[in-house]
Amino acid sequence: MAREGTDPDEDVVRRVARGDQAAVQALVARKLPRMLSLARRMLGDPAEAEDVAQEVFLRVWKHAPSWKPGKARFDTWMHRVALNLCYDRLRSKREHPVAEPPDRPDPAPGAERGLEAAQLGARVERALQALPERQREAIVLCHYQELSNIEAAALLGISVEALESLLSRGRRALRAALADMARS
Amino acid sequence: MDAQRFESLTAAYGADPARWPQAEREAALAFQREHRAQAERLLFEARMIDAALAEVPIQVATADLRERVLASVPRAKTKPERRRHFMPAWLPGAGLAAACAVGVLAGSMAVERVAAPVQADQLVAEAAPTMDELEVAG
Repeated sequence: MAREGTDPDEDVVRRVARGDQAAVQALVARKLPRMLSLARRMLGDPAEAEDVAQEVFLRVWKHAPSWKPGKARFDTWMHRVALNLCYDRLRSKREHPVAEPPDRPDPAPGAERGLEAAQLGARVERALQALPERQREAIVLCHYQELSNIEAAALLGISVEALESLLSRGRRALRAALADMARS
Repeated sequence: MDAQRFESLTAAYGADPARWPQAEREAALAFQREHRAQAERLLFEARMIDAALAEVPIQVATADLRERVLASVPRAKTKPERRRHFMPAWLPGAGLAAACAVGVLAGSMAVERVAAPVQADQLVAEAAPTMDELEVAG
């Protein structure tokens, strides 16, 4: 879980700004999985998640030279960028809803984990996608992205108490949606 | 920490102490030790939801995506590399011209059997710049 204090990405971002190729590789290795995970859990679509992750890095390359360590960590800033890109796509989906929501299982993990596990995962993912957006964000940031409650609350522009409320309501809704799984 | 706060904490952050807020972690762990049965009952609910969340598939970054991201790095605007003094760009052309000149001369020598090594040396010397010129040109 991320902790307060110095920014662990400060050095690599400074080197990226200087055009250091090793730093570029290191930043991509470190952050691409995180951005992909965030976008996937927010959007529930692997192709869109890839698009968002790629767009986040375009902004990184653009802004790294002018990045100044300050209040927010670079990782938090990247989360902010990724969330904004996800909002845009979610808004677009609301305005132009598709008849059949995409339900594409992730083939690689599914193959490894077996059909039953893949189906279970897909079901939980659908339940996660069905949560109100703010509840889903709170769960994604705290549970999957492992941001601290202070960082997540700051990203969402709410108090820690409000964050906890979103988390509790989200988890309760998941529990209700998946109640039959617990009984079986 | 009282039971009510422990319940709120686990309802929000789940059963894994690593996810609990750092500021309250020790107190929550102490509550767990001191009220084991009560804590276990509260943690049971939280563990079920944690387990369900763990089932959501992880999307692995493919090599293709990594390549695309790396390819999106803008190319640095590099200044044209300073030419090395001993190898100006026009030198190969000058050398070629000199070689041609020698070839033409040698051909004419073969046909006319005119011994003119001085002329050939002179042509090469005229085609190739002097070392001083090379230093300045670089």
